[in-house]
Amino acid sequence: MSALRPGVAELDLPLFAANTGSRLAAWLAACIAITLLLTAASLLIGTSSLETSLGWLLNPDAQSSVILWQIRLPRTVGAWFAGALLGLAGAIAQGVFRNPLAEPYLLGSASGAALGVTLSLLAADASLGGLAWAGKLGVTGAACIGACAAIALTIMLSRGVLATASLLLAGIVVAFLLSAVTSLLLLSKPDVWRAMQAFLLGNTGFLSWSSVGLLGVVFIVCLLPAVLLSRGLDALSLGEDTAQSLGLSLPVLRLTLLGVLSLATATTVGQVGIVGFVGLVAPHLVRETVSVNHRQLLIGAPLCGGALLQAADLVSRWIIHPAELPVGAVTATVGGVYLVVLLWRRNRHE
Amino acid sequence: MNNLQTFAAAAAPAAPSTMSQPTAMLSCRDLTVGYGTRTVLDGISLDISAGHWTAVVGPNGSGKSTLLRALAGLTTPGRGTVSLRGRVLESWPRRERARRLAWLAQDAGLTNLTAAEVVGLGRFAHSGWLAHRRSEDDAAIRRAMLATGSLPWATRRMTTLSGGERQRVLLARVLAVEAAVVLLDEPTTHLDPPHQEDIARLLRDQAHGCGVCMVSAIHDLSLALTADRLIVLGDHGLIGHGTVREALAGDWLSAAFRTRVDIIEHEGVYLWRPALAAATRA
Amino acid sequence: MTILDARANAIRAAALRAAALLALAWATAAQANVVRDDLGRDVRFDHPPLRVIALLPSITETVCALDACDRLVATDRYSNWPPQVKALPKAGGLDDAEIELIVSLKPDLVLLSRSQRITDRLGDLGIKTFALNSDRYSDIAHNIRVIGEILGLDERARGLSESIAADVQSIAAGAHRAHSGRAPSVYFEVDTAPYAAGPASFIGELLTRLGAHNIVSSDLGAFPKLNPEYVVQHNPDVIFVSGTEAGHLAARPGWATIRAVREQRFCSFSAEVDDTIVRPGPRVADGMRALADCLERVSP
Repeated sequence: MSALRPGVAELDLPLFAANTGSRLAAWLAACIAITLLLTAASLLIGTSSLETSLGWLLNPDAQSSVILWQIRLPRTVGAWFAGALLGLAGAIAQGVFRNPLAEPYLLGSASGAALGVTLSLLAADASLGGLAWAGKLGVTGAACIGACAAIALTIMLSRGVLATASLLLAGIVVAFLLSAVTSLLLLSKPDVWRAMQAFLLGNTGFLSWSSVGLLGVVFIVCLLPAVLLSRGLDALSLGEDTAQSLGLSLPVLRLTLLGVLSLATATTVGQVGIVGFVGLVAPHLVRETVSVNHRQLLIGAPLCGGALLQAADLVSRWIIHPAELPVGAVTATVGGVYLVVLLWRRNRHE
Repeated sequence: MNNLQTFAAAAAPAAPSTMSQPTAMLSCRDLTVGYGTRTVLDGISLDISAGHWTAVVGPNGSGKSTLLRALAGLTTPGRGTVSLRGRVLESWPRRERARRLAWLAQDAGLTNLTAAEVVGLGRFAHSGWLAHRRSEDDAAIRRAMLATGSLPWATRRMTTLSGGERQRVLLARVLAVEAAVVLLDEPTTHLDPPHQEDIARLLRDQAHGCGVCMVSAIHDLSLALTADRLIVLGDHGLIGHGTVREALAGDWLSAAFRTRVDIIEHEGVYLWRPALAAATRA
Repeated sequence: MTILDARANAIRAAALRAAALLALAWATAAQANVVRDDLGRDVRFDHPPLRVIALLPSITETVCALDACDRLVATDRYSNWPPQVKALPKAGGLDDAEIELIVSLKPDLVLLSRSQRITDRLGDLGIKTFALNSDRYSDIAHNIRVIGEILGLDERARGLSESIAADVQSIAAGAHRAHSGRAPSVYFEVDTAPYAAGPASFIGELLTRLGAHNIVSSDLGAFPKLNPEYVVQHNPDVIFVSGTEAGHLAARPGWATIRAVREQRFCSFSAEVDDTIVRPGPRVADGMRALADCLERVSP
């Protein structure tokens, strides 16, 4: 009897495993629980000791209220949104480029943001006109514009969004070029160097409620189209030709998703500087623990990324308090360790 | 319940309205495709009808894949047109075309979805972006997986399957589209001989039983010779298009493979063997 | 005179000449200076150097304050005081000194900071180098004395040190008088991360001398990167910050409640004045004066 002839029993085999739904739900619940825990913890962690912070919660006064509700809470919520945007952007990048090593900054946006900030810092120094212009934009605006300009340059260089390989290559080229220009500029004005370092290593210290508002709005605006297009990413994972034959419009998919990627990355870079590894690790963590299709990934990765950056922010505030580590250094350490463990486990398998 | 009946009942789709058809389902006129300065297909005109399984054969580099891709509308020809059901391919709205023409790639991307999810993607042209799974989608998925014998591993992830198991899932994906025209580029890759034979039988059944216009590029000559019709490509273009008997009568295969192959008939089955064996026979 | 007599005269003359030469050699040897630099090396100077290259702004300023500016043949690219050194050839920065240029100028001595990397390289090429630390207040007097000794200008060095010390003393006394009893708490922001100047930094030392209380505690190091809420918590009276950033401080979450921000008590300095505050050199009194003036004007 050939294997293609079905037995009666086969007709009753399930198409979709019964427990995937419940595993995913459990995972989502865990993420949300961790987020709430971290948020609560962040009210207690900062420059004051735990006892003092607890005291502030129970007996608030004017100054401690400011610290708790104007500084600590928006900082942790803002970090969550920033991490969520990075997780989303990373998942999108890995899906569009079908490369598990893709991360949000792969179109040169990090270098572009750094160049934007450098130019604005130098302009402020150079002339009064430059000062006014730089002041209006602020570091946030300059970083955002720099990131967008770099991505636009990448797309121009690769002449459109259709060829994945040339997009990736163009992104690398742009990143190197803009980095070089930034370094040259910094050489001429070394006092700007320390401010640049702070930006390059990420900084969640100044997230206010208005930052939270901006990040939140951008998050919703980015999440919705991404989730709607998630099945297209599934189809794309079978190959470009197959996806096209299924009726998928590759240009629409790519343009929309790359637009979302750019918006998410540029906004985040403007608010918290360059924070690495969250965008790379969050989708991996989701895939390792819960193994999903793209719709579930595009929801799970932001949740994971948000919690990750929240945790990193707490660590950066706690470890050498009242001084602070740059949050990007924390994510790099944690992310690096995670990738080493991943590599080790993979080698052990083989 | 008889196994064969079960199979037939399970495998029969809500038949696409291909029963009363104009004879040429898929055709091309003066098709010319090149890469850079190299011309792979030069002025090829073909009419492929429904209800037959047509195999495209030829030596490496003769353009089997290129022809299939052009027929599927995945490559833009330098010159010439491809028509589906009498209408030029470009004039079909994207989703309608996707519902009527299914394509199996030679190399599929590796994905971590479950087998059933992959087969479910075949319903993309029917259900669209939002992926709301309807019962008819589930039924189509089940039918396709039954037909290719891949239902037992429906809930397993593609990365945990063997090459042969994966290939059958991908075939099921193509069948799930329930298209009137199915183009397959090397559908029997990774499959062992018994399963290759199963797939050949499946393709024939789909073509005869459901009226599908089935075209596949197959490099295994003996398997290709079990098809109904052949399109034989050589180094200098199309050598012939017709039934297997016509191909043999016209010595198309010897011409295509530059007299390196011999076709013999054995108990009603055509087989090929290398032409150098002829020397030892004498 | 007999031949014997003539020969005796000749021998006597030669002996006298030899003795004179020996005396001269001994006298010169007695003038050779051996000075220990901040890398622990003993550097020997047979005569005071006449062609000097200075690779640190504070060292350039010290050499010129000793009226030996004409001995400088090149400086680093950031040295800009006094105005005449701007015309000198520039030999690079802290980490990228231009070795070819330095060698081509054939200097007798290169004065550089302890952390520069080219010291060994220049030594291999036969150029005499002398390393100096320039981070703390105490380095100022030390460097003036050592450079004065090397250049053979000990008297001038002593005078310079004394006048600087006197100026600093009087400025500090004036500052103490101005805020008698109530030391203002200050926060000095070096960069927007925010990086602050702690008491261990040079700026911090100056502020301490003026009797101001730095909200940054000394265990945090010279330039700690603070958690912004630290500043809110410690509520400084005066904030030292760059002019451009001063307008943005109120926008930082929670900072609008800080006394210095509410009452607009900011101190900002131009780039020229900034140089006197960050360089431990002979213009330290000018820097302190700027700090003290602003503090007096702006303190509550």
